[in-house]
Amino acid sequence: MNRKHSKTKAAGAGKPPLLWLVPLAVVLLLIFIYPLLDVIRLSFTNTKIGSLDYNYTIASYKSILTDRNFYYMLRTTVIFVFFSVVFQTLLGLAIAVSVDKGEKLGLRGTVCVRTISLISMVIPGVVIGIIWKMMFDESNSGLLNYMIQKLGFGPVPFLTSPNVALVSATVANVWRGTAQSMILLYCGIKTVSADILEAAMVDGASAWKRLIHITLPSMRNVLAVNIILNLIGTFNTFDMVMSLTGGGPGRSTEVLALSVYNQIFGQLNMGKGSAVAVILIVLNMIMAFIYFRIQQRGEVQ
Amino acid sequence: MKTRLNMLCSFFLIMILTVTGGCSGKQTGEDSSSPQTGSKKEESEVKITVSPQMIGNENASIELVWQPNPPHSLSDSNPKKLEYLTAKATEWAQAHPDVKIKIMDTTTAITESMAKTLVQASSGQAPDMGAIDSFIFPQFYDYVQPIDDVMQEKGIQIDDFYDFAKGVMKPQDETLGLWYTTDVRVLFYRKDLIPEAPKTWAEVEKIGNDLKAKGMDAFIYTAARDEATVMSSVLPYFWGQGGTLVNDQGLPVFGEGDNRQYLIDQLTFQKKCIDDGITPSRVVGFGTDPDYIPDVAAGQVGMFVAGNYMSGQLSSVIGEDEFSKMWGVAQIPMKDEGSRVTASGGWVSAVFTKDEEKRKLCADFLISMYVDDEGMAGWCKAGGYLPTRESVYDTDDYFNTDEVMQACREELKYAEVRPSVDSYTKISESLQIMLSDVLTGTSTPEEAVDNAFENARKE
Repeated sequence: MNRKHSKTKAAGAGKPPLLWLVPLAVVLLLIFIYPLLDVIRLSFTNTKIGSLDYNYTIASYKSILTDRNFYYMLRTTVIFVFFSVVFQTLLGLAIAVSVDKGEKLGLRGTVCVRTISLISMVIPGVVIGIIWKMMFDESNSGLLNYMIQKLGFGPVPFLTSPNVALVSATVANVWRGTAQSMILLYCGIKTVSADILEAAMVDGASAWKRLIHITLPSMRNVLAVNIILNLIGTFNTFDMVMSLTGGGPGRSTEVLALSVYNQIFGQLNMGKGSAVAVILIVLNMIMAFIYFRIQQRGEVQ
Repeated sequence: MKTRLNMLCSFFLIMILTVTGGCSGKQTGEDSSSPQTGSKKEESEVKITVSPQMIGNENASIELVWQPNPPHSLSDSNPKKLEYLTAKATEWAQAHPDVKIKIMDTTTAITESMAKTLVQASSGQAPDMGAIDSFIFPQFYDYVQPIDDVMQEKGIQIDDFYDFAKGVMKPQDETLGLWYTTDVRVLFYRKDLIPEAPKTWAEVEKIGNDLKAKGMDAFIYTAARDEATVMSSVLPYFWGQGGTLVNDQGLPVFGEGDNRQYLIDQLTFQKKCIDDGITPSRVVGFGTDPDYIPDVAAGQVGMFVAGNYMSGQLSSVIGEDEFSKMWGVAQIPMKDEGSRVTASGGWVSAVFTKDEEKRKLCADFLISMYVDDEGMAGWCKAGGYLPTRESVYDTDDYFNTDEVMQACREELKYAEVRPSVDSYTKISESLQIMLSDVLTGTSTPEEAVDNAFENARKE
């Protein structure tokens, strides 16, 4: 059996891998590279949905980059992404550390906590938006406002005040993305050497110091990868915002990805929508580049 | 042991397949016109299927593809609509045993669905027939086929349709679509609390203050980012003052000259209602009319502006008797007494296929289902919609006698429709943001109108 295996290995060893990569290359070309190139091409046109006539132009980019609404939207997106990623990472870390500690102490229910935390990962974004919309409802049927009013305070305009609505959308997104952080960071914690932690304990290091000086530095790469993945995921978030606020009130929660949808399916403006999509792709590529650099550095280490 | 286990598994597998096969047959809602077993005579009879996926004889030689609006199709969950559509489709299929209609499912997100249909139509991939939202229908003129001959055969006169529908259905010499259902924006008011519905903004404020003193949300409407906001909360007031959205070239003019002032005036009124507590600020979260059904059903609301279809939806929640006891329907209050305008929407069915035989069959099917005397009355009654043909209000008992329907019929005389221009989608978005910005205090009415106008004029 072993001889047969080694024979097969030897037979394939000298051959170039090109043949094996062809199916993957074809799939990538058809479902990823071609649409991507087409979006870039369309971004340099003035094409509208339903019209076959169009010209090549940079008018869409000019229009976007000279539009103050675009910079307002960019600001909204940056605020939404920044606070989402910070709290997703912090809460994910807190749950991961707690679960790990619980396991070490032999507490019951750690698997249950882990599973419950993962629920948000399997719920579609649109449904998450609807769930939070019901929670944030300002009428008497809104769960959060009902509790706030029971405590003797007035209703909070969770979704109808521009500033509060952005906070509400961020909270919903933190809830959505914390599970991914938790699972990645939990894996990261499991890779930290138990010997070093034990040595630190013997030396009298407190739990907080062990976390800051040993655990976190040891899982620096995992932490960075988690942050980058959260950044990319949040930049592309549109479904949840769509069902939660629709981008309103006004433009207060309109993020870049939602703007792409609005331009293409609301305004039927394929050219401009594609241009916004290309800007989003560039931002994502920057994130992806950082991700790969971190991964490379991790492999070298 | 292993063989026995395999046999047992196979047996269970066959059982499961048999049971699920049987169930799937039931789920399609087959409506067979003949028993499936029995004599040769029975076998030769046509088996008609009416399901959300197909209408007609499965073995028919002619196949039509239909993309309806989901709430107007057999995939809707409303039992009254389903009962009507199933009976009518069965009747048509029995009369056309050589035809089967495959039903294409589409999303209920209207703008997305319309964008996809437009892409299909422009690339020659459209279904044989389909339903198009009326405001976007003019963008389909190049891709739809005339149906005058079939209308004539079926005795449908274009002059029987309301003016707003006629203009869209027949832009020039040929009739290109069938505006089969419409709606109209009206004021719903608590007639047990308000003896006479307000006709002007000043009256709304007066009545509103009285209702507010009783702890009620006096006057609500949609003001979130949604097309319903423009239809209910912007256009009627704007048109009522004499405003015009676009010029003859289809370019936006709503933010210049008198039009600008009209918008500022209405926004000032709406903001004052918020500041005075007549309108709760949470209206900026209401995207569609049904969003405030819970508030209305809880008896918390005094007046609201919505589509006429809310009468049916509200009746189903609070009961028909309660609804007719408590709620009245009236014109939308205007700035000045004497002016009276409202906004209408609706759906148009059209034929895309160029195949002559299929074109005629499609038109015949659509007219039978939704447009001829029996079809329009039956369909609109089942769905709570308004007929687009005036004669239906005279000939059908329900539309002739129902109090709400009569009030809506009256309003239809003052109905205007959104301009059929490419720039409309951008204008609509700008107006939605304008209203929201004023109501949340982000902008003054003047700033909001100017921003909206600047935004709408951008390429």
